[in-house]
Amino acid sequence: MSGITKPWTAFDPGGAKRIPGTVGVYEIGDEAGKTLYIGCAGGREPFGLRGKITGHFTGPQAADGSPARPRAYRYEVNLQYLTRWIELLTQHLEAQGGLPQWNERARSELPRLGRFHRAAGVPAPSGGSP
Amino acid sequence: MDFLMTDQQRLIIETIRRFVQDEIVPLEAHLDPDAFELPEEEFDRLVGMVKEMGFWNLSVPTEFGGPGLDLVTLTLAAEEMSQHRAGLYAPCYHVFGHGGLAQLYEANEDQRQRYLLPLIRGEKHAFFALTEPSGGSDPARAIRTTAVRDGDHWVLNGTKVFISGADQADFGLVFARSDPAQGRAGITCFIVDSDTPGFRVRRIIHVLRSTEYPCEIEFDECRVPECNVLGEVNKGFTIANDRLTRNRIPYAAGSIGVAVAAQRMAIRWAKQRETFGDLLAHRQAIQWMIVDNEIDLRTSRWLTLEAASKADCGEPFRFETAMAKVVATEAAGRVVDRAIQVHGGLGVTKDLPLERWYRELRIRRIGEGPSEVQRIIMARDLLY
Repeated sequence: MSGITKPWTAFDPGGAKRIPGTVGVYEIGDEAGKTLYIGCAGGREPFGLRGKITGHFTGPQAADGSPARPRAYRYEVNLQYLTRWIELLTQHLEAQGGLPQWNERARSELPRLGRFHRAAGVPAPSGGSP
Repeated sequence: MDFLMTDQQRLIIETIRRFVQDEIVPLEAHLDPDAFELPEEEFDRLVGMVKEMGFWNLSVPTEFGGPGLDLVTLTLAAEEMSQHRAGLYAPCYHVFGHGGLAQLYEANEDQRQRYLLPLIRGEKHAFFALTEPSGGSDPARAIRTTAVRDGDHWVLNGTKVFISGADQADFGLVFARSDPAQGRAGITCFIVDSDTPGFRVRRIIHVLRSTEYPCEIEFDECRVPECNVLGEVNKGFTIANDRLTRNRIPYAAGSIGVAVAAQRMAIRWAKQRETFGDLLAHRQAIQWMIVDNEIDLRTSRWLTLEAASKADCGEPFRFETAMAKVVATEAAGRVVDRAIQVHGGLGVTKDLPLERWYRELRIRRIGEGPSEVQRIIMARDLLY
């Protein structure tokens, strides 16, 4: 599968209620449409994607003084959230030569990632600006 | 036949049972319900415990440093190791060791040093690549990946699907057609390093299983040295087939294990849950489900141990293995289904492991040779 192909949605607290409370995967992006974080909402997350995504905009990461500020999100409801998460992370790693900034900072929470052995120059996961 | 356990078997089984209950199940309370690996520090700690117990790589023969246990004991052990949430495809999260790919026991001395022994020590990971888009149940005809000799190398071209762990592996066993004029006598097994140019993982295939996701891989002018031929040229099918038959026995046992755990949960729930003023355990509808579960479990266990016992005695065991594989995987699916029914709505939530077992067990009727192919194997013996 390709990366998450949905367009970015700018975060607004009122609209966040429409994010589903199910399991799935998501990305957090900055102003320029750069992916800051790839995450997954698993089976123990009390409010699923809604809780996880909202947490990035209202929690400590949103106000930690980092120049990279979260502005938008996109998600995918997916029952195979763990394997899809691994796929998105591996695709990003191989296409961009590294993990998203916030994933790098939280390496201890990552699953073991493999390699796709893709040739250099494979396009990054698709997606526009927020 | 006498399947009374020996003292050694009883000790092994009781030790593994305690380990699962005391070490694995409590950890799972803190993991995602679909988790298939432990945090690194927990994995290392438990591997250390297992090694200290002398239980590391139970399935490895003595000549490669393992205890060389018989198949009956390994079958009993497999049933115990799978009795937790991730147990069907990640029994005890592999802290007892992977045991290596049994096909690699055919390796020559050089290959043993480079591949088999590092695999057994847990230093390397490997994949097994047989199935192709053209089919997996009849590999002798379905394999279209080609291997053409070019000097002291073989050039591989083709695609394989449903290859577990290919994106994590250091090397793989790849079966390719080296003689297009032959059927099963034209297949060769190659050891392919994952960093060989021309090898790549095309995608992850998302399936019902939460554990050990499969991949699609491809070989594009992938050059493999002659010294990486496993066994003899054109004899690869025999290597694959013999070991696949043997592996179906612990495969059946793992299915029984999760069904045992589901039955235990169903009984516990029936004895505590009240409806309309009485316990579920007092309802005939529930009693019959519990009894049918027990019939399925005991039938499956008996047939699986019979297959293992025949293999240990050096008797033909292909028929018995096919029957055990069909009965155990189909019965386990029914047991978990009934256990979910006993639990009602709670049974389909991720709060309990039942929904994961239900999903993953469905694959077991297809993986390692579907039920229908096993029935073909038995029909051949009965009719021809």
